[in-house]
Amino acid sequence: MPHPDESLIHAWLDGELDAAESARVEALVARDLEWAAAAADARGLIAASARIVGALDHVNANVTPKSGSPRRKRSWWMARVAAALLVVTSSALLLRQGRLLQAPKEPAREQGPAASPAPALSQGAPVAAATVAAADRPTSNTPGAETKKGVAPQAAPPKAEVVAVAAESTAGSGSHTRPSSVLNMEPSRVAQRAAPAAPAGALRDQLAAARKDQLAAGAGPQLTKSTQEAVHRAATTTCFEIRQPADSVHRLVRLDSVQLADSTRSGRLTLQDDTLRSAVRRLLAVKVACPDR
Amino acid sequence: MQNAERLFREYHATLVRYLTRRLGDRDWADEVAQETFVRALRQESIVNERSWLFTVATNLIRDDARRMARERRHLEVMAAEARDVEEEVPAAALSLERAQDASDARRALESLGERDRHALLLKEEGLDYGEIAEVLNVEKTSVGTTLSRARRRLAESFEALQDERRRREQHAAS
Repeated sequence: MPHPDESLIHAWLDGELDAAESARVEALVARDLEWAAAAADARGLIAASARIVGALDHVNANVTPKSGSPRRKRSWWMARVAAALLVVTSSALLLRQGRLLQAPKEPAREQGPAASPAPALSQGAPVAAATVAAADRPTSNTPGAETKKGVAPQAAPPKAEVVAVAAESTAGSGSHTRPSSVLNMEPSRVAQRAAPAAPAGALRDQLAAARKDQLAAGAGPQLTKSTQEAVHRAATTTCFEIRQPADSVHRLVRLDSVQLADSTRSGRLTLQDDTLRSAVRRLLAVKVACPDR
Repeated sequence: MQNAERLFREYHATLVRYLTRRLGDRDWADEVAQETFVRALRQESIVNERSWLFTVATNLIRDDARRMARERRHLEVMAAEARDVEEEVPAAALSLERAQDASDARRALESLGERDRHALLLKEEGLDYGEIAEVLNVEKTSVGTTLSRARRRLAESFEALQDERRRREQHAAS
């Protein structure tokens, strides 16, 4: 009786033997305890191997940033930037608007043809609103004639006209009340229309600052430094854990979303790029939840 | 074109699985599989499609492995430098049993010789001894020996890793 041949038994179990050889091995396994034990052992090894190899299918998804799909990842990042911009812009404009409507009290030097006389403005009428009215009143040849103090216009006027009416009314009465319709206007409209007739001094400076803010806020890439910093602070961080194959040494590499977006856009990781990419590819670096700093 | 579609339909899934198991990275596996099919389409005729595809894919892995050897050395240097500023990672982050099994399986597989490793993975993809011999460029009669050795070593290595892990966990718990 020959000794059990392990490779022959594996070949038999794998169905690789021809009929005669297969019958011979089968007979040996049936007759001999040693062969039977070897066959059982081989069956166990085959099953174990299949199970172990099957475990390899548990692969971390999205370990490597796909160069083909940067747009989707960027959109996530861009959404955060857009949200941050919206908050910053809105706050800046609201703040600026409030200042515009409260601060200026000095007389305007440049008056349009339709503007009310300077004394009215000097009594505290909202300059911004008045200048809007001056710029927007298109048809009237007789300033102040189409409305009377405290009397509403007969037809529903455009927004700017309402502003004009309100401005004239408050100017006439000497009231410091803000025309509420100004608040209803789109902020950009107020600032843009107020700009051409900007008076000297503090108001002019404020308007210039408002325009600057608008430009900075409206033209996405031209972020102010503080905005950029805010965006960076808001950015979340992605961590990669790098593991050595031979031991359990760990190292944590942090990428904030800006770096990650840059890496994704360029199709590679820029932080210790080749090394980290290599580690990622070899599954030595996996994306993990960032622990608290 | 129809032939290309058929080839892709018949072999893409199994080739990607083989490559994923071998490389541990689906994206990389997809890239290699894609390159393999591109090369297949350039061929005028292929006698044994399955063994041809697996041979090319295996060769591409080897090419990549050579190319990455330099990067690997770089990683080792960087890891050595990083030990000083090393941060502890909570074990909970990677404590899923499946992830541990996958990690042990990968380490066990990496402990095998290259031929054993490939033979094992190819067999798991259903290639017969003749096809495995063709891919690995070895005699068909040696495949049984290769496989029996590979299976035993894989199982032993995996078991040793699992034991080691259990000991570490017990030690940590006590």
